Amino acid sequence: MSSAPSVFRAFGRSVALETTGDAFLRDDSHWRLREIYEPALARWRLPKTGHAVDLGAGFGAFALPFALAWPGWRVTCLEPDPKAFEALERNIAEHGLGARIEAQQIAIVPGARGKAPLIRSRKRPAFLSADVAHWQGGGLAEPLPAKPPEWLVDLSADLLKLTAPGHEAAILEAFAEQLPPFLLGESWAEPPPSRLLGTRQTSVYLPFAGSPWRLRRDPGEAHAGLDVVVAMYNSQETIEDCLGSLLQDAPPDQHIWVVNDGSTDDSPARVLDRFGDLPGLTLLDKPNGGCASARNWGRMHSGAAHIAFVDADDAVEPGFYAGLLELARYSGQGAVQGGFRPFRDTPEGRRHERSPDAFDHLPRRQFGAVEVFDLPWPEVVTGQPTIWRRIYRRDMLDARNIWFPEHIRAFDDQIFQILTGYHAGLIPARDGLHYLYRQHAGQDIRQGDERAFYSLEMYRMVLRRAVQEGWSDFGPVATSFFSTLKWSHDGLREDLRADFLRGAAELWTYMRHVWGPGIESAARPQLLPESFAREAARLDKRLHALGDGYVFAFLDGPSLHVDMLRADRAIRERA
Amino acid sequence: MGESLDSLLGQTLEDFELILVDDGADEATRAVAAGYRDARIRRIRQANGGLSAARNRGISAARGDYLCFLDADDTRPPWALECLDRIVREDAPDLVLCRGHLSEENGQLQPFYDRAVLDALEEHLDGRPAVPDTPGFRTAQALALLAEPQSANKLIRRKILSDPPLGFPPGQIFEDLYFHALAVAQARRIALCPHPVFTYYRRPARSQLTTARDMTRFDMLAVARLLLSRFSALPEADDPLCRTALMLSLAKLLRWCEEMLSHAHRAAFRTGLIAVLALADPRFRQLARITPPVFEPFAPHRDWLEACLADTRLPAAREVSPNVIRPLRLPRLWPQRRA
Repeated sequence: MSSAPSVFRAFGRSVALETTGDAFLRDDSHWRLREIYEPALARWRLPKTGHAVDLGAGFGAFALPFALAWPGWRVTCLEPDPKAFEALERNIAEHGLGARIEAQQIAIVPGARGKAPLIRSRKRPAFLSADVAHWQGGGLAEPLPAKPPEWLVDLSADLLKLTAPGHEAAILEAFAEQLPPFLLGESWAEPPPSRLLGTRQTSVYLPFAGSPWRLRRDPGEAHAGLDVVVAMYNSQETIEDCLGSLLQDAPPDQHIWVVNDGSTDDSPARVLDRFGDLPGLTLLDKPNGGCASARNWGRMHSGAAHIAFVDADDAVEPGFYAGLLELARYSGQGAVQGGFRPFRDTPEGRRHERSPDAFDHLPRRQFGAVEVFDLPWPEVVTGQPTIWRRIYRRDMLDARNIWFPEHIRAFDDQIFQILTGYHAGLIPARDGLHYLYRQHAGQDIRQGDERAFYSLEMYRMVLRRAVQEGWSDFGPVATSFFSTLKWSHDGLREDLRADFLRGAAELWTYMRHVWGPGIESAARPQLLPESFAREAARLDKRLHALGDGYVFAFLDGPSLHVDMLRADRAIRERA
Repeated sequence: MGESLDSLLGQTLEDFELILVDDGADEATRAVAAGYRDARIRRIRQANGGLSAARNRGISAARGDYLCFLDADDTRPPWALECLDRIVREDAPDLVLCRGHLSEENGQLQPFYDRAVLDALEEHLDGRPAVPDTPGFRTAQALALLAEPQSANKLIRRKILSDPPLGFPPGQIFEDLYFHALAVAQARRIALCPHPVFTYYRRPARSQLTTARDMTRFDMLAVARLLLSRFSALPEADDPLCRTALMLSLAKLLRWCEEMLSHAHRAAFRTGLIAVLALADPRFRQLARITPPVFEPFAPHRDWLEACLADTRLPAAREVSPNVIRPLRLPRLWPQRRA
């Protein structure tokens, strides 16, 4: 009962193979060769000889072309489905590969002894899997011959091709971080954790089904892992809680860099007393220079592929960065983010508030047991700065030359948020895990003094960069600019407001002349007093004959710089 | 950088503090710096924030009564600080302007660019510091404004940098002129050091200003805008000679920037320049008719500037002056005929 052979093209040759007659299995086999196996093997340099194990071999769509293309290799095929197995044996015989390909009719199922049940999909009967309801769409359990993963490990494969829907993570766990040198396949249900890659050099190509994500090593030249930089200044009350929470369920290759920014209290001593012996924590001392300088300092002294910045008065839920690091590794994106919840200290203990995030409109998808979604960059740019709930790729920060500006002594995370948001493009996120953000009265954002003008300087820096780097869209930055103006102006001291609006109007005039009238749809001048629009119109009149052009990104004004503003005000008062 | 540090540590005057600002230096440079173990060195490290940020960082860390700057690729002769110290003791100045040397790309040595201006200033001062409310003060300021804006060519009383606050404009690379002009305006006693105290090196292979990419030259527009805006609030802006000196110094740099640009960017640069002039106090459009002979070499810059001021896109001065009462406009009685 053989069906007409189908021609499979892979690894530089065409091979006619008998299929089981199941159209799904045939098409899926074509797809898998084209999208997964061939691209990976085109890139890898396999040795001349070796032993490949093809788990879930089907009728041999991978094993036969592989054996033909690498004649020095031996192949072991494992396939539990009786029909597929028959076709496989016939294909091996047809191509005369009996000496190099060995086929066994078994499945690999954790804990299996003799026989184990697999679910046969109702819609696609050739699809056998563990119980992964959203992939197979329901089906009947069928007992099939099976062996445990330990048996597979004993085959000591040099290359493992893995098609074992729903059992990948458990199977790979059995290798105890000693995976075969080449690992190929797909994972469906629970994404195998990245720690399984261990320290051994393994070439892996294991996409997570239904997404562009895949199991991978940390990107770039830097060593694998996560550096968490904690900027600490007079934080003796909170630093122990903060570090304690970072250590709970931490990723194994996390290193904490506590940067003591010239504290005058007991905080460095407390860190050393309680955490001084930990190998995963280093205390760095520097003269006081502000939060931005402390974060940069930690970054300059560390070197892992991923980095996160934490404030010493905050904390995280257990496993926060471990969860995010998995997203960072699987997605390979420039930044990934988790949720956050503000909290206040009260006499009765911490009182947590609801997360202000509003991302319900973004479509979700499963990543194993957790729900994830992709945050487009405009959402990040227009949102409140929350740089601490993200993990960044160090090579992105380096390549884009994104640092915290050290001369900006407040709100320096605003520009960091905009630049990283734009350059990351799409930020994978999950909201079940939270960074815990402490609210208190002494925060910068409640002072209302000249430091509000730092925001103006930063938006000018962004404008200039956007022109030089050729940003595709400045609208979200303009929207964020107006929200910041509104928010800063509302909290600003009365006597500073006129100067602030003048500086803001000047910068807005430059933005308009750079991007043209199209940018006005993103503006919200109605949020501000009328004097803003009047001043902008006055400046505009002076510049009217000059038209629009990128050169306006390079103009500047003293009201956009805190020190110059202070100097001008001092001179004015004296006169 | 080694030569630079050697030249400072080998000064005949030994009582000073050397603030070494590491502005995101590479490993090799940091290794050289680490090799110097002199108790007078204080080290500061920051992520690459640019020259202005590095110098501002140095200013805020400084503790002495006076301070001066030196870039890591320039040097000072061994007598430099001793000469400056002598002037400080004799004249108690707020600002000392200094002569220097220029080392050309081919190694040829010569006096620094502004020798003629400083000669005129020396003759004008006649051995005494310039002080306000004396007849020659504004002229001394004007000559000082005309001097080459170079950070190594001045010694400043630290106090005058805090009230009102003065630093280098962050993030821009033509920061020297801004600082130079405002320091001159802020100083109450201006003196001149007759001896050369620095050597400036033009180096072919280094990424100094001269080899920087096009877009960085656009920063000159920001500096011009900031400087004119800040300067307009000062009494010096009322003095025609000071104003002219400032505008000529600016014109020299702006013109140089424009001429170094690739042709693709020149029209945009000119537009930006007209925008700066349009936003500036209209007084800056009025240059002194009669200037001292030492202004003579600036004549080409003056011609260039006057051409810019004649640009038709620049709104007429009376339209932008906030102090002028607008003439009453009568409604037109009949529609204008078209030809």
